Amino acid sequence: MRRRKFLKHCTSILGSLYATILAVPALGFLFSTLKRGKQTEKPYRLARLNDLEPGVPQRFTIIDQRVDAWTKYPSGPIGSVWLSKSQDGAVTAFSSTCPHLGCVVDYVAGDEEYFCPCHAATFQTDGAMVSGPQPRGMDELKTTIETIRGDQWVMVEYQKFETGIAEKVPIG
Amino acid sequence: MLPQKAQQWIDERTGYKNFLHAIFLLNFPTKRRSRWQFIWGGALVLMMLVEMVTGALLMTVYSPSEASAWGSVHFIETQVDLGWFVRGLHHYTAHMMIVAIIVHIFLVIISAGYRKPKEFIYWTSLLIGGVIIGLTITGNPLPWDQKGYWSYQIETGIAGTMPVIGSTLRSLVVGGSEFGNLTLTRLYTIHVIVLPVIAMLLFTFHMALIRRERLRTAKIKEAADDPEVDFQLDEDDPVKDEITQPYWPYQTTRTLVLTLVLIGIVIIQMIVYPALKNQHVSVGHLDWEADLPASEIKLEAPADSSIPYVARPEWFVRFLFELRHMVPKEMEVLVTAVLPGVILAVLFLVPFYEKVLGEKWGQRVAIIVYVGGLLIISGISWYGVKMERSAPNYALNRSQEVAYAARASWLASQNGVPPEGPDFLLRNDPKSMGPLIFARHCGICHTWNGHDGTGHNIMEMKDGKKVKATPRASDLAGFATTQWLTEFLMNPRSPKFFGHVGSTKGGDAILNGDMSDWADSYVGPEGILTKADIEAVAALVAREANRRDFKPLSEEVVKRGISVFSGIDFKDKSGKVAEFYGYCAQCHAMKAGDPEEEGGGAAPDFNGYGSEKWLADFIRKPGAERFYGDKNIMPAFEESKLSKHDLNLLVKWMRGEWQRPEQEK
Ligand code: FES
Repeated sequence: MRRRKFLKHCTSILGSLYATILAVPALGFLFSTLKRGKQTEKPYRLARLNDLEPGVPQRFTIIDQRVDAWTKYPSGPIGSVWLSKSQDGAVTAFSSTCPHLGCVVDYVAGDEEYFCPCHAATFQTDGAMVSGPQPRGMDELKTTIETIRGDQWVMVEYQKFETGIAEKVPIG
Repeated sequence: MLPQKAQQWIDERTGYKNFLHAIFLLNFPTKRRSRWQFIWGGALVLMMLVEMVTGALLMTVYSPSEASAWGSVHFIETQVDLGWFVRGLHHYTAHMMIVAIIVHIFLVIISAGYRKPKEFIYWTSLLIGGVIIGLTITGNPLPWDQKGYWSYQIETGIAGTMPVIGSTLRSLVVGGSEFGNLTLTRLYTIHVIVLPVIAMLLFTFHMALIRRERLRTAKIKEAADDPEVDFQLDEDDPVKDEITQPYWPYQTTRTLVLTLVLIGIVIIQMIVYPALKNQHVSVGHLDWEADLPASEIKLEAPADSSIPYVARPEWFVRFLFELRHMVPKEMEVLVTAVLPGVILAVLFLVPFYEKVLGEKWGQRVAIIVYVGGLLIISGISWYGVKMERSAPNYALNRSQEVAYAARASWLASQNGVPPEGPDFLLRNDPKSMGPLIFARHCGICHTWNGHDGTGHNIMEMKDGKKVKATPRASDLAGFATTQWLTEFLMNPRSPKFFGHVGSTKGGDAILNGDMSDWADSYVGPEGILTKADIEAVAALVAREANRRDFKPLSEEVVKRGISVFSGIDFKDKSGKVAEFYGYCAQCHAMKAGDPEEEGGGAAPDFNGYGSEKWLADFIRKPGAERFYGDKNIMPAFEESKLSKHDLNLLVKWMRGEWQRPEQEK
């Protein structure tokens, strides 16, 4: 039956055309919405260099506008950073997000240690691991010093990293 | 494909081969000559599948709440890859399904598909048609744009007029008595769960009935064809006409061809007619030019009862809407509640026509009723659309709606949707709100390019008739620009300025007051002032306003302006220094024009003239000492009459200050 065979071919060709009309937009649609939340590092002006007390880490909140898909929220906190200045004036910045599962890390002044209250991860002042379940040390952020109208300001490139893995991989 | 062994393994445990066989390979009897007619049902199934897939995709982004519904649909249209395609496919295929069901039912009727024993097959297809209409009605308002919002207002309004159950039904589908978040969540639930489930149950029942009927026919046919069986069909038995063929591939091919043609039409429609129903008016009417070409807009402006929009229902309920306006008030219930019931009954009772009229005439009547009904309904709808389009303000109103849609879309792309909701895009936008505020508060006396700011004429009642009103105060388009001031100074008595003021109480003192006298004595062919002098002093005053279209002045113009304003160093037409007694500083104060600051007090203060602050202060209290004082005839607009927010928008709009594309960095 040649006719029957021909019609079978027709069905599969037309059927795949139908499926393509649906599948191609479906994939484009689904995958493009996965782009949400990607961010690039962006410098934030956090503190005057002279205002930082040497050897005492201080937490600064990062304030920025946040766009969530279609909604644009007015400026608000999007994260925070621990800034510390050593005696010789070099500044280091750590993201306050715990590399274990993303809680906010505290600084315990008496022990001179960073401490995450969620699962008791502890870090040295240079960010290295001391004890706890975390797979890596604290995430250091790039800092620069910029002179604005005679004052030296600490600029920090804020960025988020994947938690729970040993490598420091930026999100996005 | 799976290897033989695996197929067998699964089949032993599921019997899937039998199942597929039962669906696709069964020897279904089909009418020999009409195989192409009976594919509309299959095409409807495949289109329903398109709706389900695209609907599920849209669900991954869409968010049913007042604050985010519009924003999420705008996001689909503009940010998601192929989002416009998916949404367009979902939207237009739904309408194509309504067309398909109309055709399908027609074909059923002309082939007597309602005749015993197929009554229930026919009735279930009617019900499925009803569910499809329900799906379209509940889907249309989901974007919460003006179009969906207002057509749902009308549709629920029609539902609300039904006797007894009307108001309960309405509050049930609206989620209370007012439109809002609950309306959307309810609509969403009905649209994505309730109606699809009902449709699927009906469809299953429908298919089961069809299968039963086909199998029965196949058995009869087999028996008739089998020489061993002593069974002959009558010559005129319809079964004689049938041939048996498996559904696959014979019917599937045809069904797919039709489906692809219909979807092809939908896609062509989407591409050549991308804006949802707003291509027939050009954007760009008076002050209403949109910032985007119309083809970019697929969404109307966010639902907002303070933005003008002419409500229209969906095309397939349009006739009810039109009929409602055609009959006297007391008969409205007949149209909105009884008529749909009657239409439904007429369709439902088709199988019984033949009981009364006999087979031949029963079917003829059914065809006449169906086709005639369709013609009448389309006639009424067409008439309604035609009447609306030929209404005098239609083009203007529609272009405003389109301009609002374009503006909202542009603002959302630029700034994102604020968390309070998309209607704040327009509510905080001087370009959108300014004209409306002007029309409401100022348009009674003032005009804007001759109209009320929104492009409409200001009307008043005269001898029981609505006529174009005569303005009572100046035309403010271009207020505080050099050109506007020059025109004013050349002829304050012109109808554009003080011309009509005389008709109001105390207005004569202004019309024939010092300013007009001044123009009479110093401007014109006999006057000492040249056009250039007027322009220079106008520019000097316009500099105070510093509107965005103001161009920096040359040293020379400034000098000349100052000499006219203060009378110092004034040179006449021949260039000689002359005595000039008509200098402005006698009455008006303005530091920039009067270095010695000797004058002012008798007329409005020009320091900061036309600036945001000056204008706002003036509108709040035109009778203040520094403005018109006791000569003032303009009502004051205090906070209670005009909120600070509105005043700010009005002033910004009058000065032409709003977010524009070229301001981008
Ligand atoms: S999240 Fe910080 S220790 Fe687990």
